[in-house]
Amino acid sequence: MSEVQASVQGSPSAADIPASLLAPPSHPWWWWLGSDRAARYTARLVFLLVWQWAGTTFQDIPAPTGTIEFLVEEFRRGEVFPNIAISLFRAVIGLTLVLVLGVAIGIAMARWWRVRYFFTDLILVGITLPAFIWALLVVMWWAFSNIGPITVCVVSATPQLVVNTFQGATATPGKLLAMSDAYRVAERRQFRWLVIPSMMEYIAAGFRSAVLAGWGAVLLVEWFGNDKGVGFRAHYWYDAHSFEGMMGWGLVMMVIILTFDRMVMDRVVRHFRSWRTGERQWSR
Amino acid sequence: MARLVAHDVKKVFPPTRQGQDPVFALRNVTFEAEGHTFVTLVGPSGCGKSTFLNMVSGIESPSAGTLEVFGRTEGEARIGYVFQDPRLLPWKTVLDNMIYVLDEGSSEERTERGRKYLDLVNLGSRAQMYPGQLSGGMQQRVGIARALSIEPDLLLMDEPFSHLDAITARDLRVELQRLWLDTKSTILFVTHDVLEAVLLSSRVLMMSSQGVIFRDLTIDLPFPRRQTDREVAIHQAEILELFEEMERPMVDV
Repeated sequence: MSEVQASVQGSPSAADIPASLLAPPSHPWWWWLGSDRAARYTARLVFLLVWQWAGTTFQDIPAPTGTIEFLVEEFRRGEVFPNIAISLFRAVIGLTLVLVLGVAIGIAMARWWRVRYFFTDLILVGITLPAFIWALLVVMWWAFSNIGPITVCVVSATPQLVVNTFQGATATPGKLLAMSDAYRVAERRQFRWLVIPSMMEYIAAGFRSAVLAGWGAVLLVEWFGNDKGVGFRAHYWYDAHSFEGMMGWGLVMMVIILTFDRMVMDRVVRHFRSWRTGERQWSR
Repeated sequence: MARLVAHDVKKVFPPTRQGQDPVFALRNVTFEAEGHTFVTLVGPSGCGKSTFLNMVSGIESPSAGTLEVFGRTEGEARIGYVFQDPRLLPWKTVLDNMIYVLDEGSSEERTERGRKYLDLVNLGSRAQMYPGQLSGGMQQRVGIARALSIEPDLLLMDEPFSHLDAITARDLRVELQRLWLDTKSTILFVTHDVLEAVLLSSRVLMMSSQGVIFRDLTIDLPFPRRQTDREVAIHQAEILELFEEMERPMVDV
């Protein structure tokens, strides 16, 4: 065996490494333009510009300025916050039930095959049956009560969360379960430390979709048959042939769901993915 | 003193569909191991070594025969298991992975014990990192520390260095010898690497591809051993010759 003389040097010191790699990142002002926040703000700006263009070009489409003026008027009439509050109340009750039922049924389906086969067809029907059908039915059954919006929220959003939770539960790594059995880790601790955390990403993603579906369902029922709520007010102005009214309340619906998604769901999803920091991922 | 007794252990995997034959993973495995000993099962891939470890750990059960582990104290024996891959919970920190398998004592005591064994494998400073932030060798060291932290009567190791690069694996073999000498535990090790078997073991059980132990050898060399030791190389060559002989006539011993 012979040795080839290579350029072998001592261990690298900080002096060998470019200063830019050792200091915390500092960015020029225009770096902000490449950030995720800039992408979001750009999308909103483009939306506003297109809306303004459409509003000034087509007579039947209200411009942003007219819509905002309408909302200010609606606020003065005392209609904005009470209707938002009642819709949010219904959505919170409904989505709490969705979370409890969706996670419980999803876990039970993964754990016990009889439960799985009992719910499989029901979940499929729940996913495929449009919220529109449920909305018409509950209006006939319960008229103007809170039960209708909450029920439709539950039946149309729960199946989505059940499917995600079930997938998460079945994706629990078998090798980690075998390791836990080998170390005689108590079932309760396995469930808390292994099964639940491995499902959390799925549950968070499923609940995010469920929130969107559930909020839409509440508004739909309010539109078809209720005397309070954001959906009801939009329908009220539809009947009055007010484009500004419909657009204004549509804007309220969008702002509420975007705020909740950004402030709550996005952070929850990121929290449950935090352990993946540094992992190579396909998405950029 | 910890003791492992295997008597006439067999393992058959039944066919899963029509026309398939049952798979005889292990036939008539009989041996005993006791006290401060390092026993290695060495044999070709697929000869049933890992299946045997899984049965000892309780993950699987034998199709026939008896398999018993007696601890140093009354009650169920404590068995540590180091797998081929580290099998750490990726969403828990290194320290939490240690605490996960500890069921005795208060929360503070378990944390303290977890830290103690991480220090033993020189990973105390990485306690709050996630497994994904460690190298493969470090993760495997956490796996070893986790197995030692339960202060096992019997430590099972299933080709723990086979996924690592040669240099990391060599370092960990040195470290394992030191840990075994310090902890005085009983180790049942599985490998298909004859050099590794000679380097680490006080006793080598040679398994044929038919799932039979056909030789039971004592490796009477002083510890710590090095891969470059001449005696280690001689024993390695002898064992390889025995495997070659075994492959010619098929005779169960």
